[in-house]
Amino acid sequence: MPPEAQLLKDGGEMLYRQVFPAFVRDGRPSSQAFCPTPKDNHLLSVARSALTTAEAAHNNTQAR
Amino acid sequence: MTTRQFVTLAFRGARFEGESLPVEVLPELSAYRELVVAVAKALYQAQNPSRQRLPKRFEAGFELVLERIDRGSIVPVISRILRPQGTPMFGEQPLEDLFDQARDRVEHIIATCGSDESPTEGTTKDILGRFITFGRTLQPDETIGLTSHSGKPPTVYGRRIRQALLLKVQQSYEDDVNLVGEVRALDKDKGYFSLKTTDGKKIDVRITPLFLPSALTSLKEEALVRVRGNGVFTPEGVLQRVSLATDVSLAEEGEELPTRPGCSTPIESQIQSLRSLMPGWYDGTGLAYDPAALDWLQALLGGVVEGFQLPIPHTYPTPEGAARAEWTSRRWGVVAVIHLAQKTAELVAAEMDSDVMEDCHLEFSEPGAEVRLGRFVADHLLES
Repeated sequence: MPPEAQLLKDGGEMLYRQVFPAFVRDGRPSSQAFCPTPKDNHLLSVARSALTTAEAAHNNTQAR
Repeated sequence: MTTRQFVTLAFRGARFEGESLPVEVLPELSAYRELVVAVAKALYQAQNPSRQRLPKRFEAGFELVLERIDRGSIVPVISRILRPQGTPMFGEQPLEDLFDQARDRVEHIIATCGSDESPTEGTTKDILGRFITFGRTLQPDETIGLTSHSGKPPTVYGRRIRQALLLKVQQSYEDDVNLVGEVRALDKDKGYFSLKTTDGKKIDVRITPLFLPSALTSLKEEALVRVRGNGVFTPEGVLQRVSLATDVSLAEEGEELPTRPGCSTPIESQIQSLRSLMPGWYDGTGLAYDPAALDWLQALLGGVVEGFQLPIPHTYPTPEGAARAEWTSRRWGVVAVIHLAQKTAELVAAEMDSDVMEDCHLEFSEPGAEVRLGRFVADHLLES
């Protein structure tokens, strides 16, 4: 585990993952949307519900 | 009346979890008898090559009755009526022995289907063709376990084995179909119509004049109809046509939905969405798809879905130009990453509640790869 990483303490905390629209079919996301890629150093990007909202996380992704 | 237990046929599947035998499967009992009689005739002819005809009352000497239905799923117990001792039999071969041999031969043919062991010594094409009526009413998840000798595990028979046996003797096979769709064209003189099914396929259906009014209503009013009848399938299990409809009637409310489980979007429409992807579709890096490769993918997925009666997969693009077909059941998630340029696939099945994963690599240039794809998915989904 990287030194700056920390374990989540709240088991009920949600993690928001932004999924590319082509990876959603009939409302079901493809499992590839949850596979880390080399582009992300094999780390899965998510936003924590303790720190932001789903809408804000989505807007943040769109703004990048 | 003296009887002796001949065979038990254990019906397994969701329809047989109650305490009663659905009447729709009763034809299986007479189909089984016809199969045994056909095999017995072939055995007699093989053992008596000089005889031009069968002995008198050959078939009449084989009487089966439904003795009772045991529980533990639904298990009809079929017994044979025995002739009084001393009644003359034909030839030198005792009647019971010959039909017992035929029963055992049927189970041997089923048990060795798909294995390297040859079932066909003395097994003619005519015998294999007789499997056309036995197992016809079974659904994809249903089987019949045949047991003729106590203490021996049942010989399991289902649609896939029936299909494999029939394909040993013919280039296509026939099976019952039950379709819902809309009549799009009708030729009264030739007696057929074109049906567009709810999952987007067009199928030619031959009909008798009896069903013309229903077909005309569907054509004029764009009404959905349910079509039952005899379908002709390719070796891959793709329905080619309905050779004769036995029923054409207005569909019931709610039947406009695709009857096959899985993704509600037909495979053709899913593949069409992949066609529309432009170069750079994924953050500027996604590859566009070759139309011919997508034609191949559509035929591949359509074939295995039909052939193995699979749910429609959710199909996705990948930035690298592959396609992912994904299936989910209560127990397993199955993913096929299909590399269109190389015509290869990586299959992974992951058990939901454990760390168990199983994988498989396929080269579609090798014969049988399509069947291995279908079997890998079916084995995991149907296991659930």
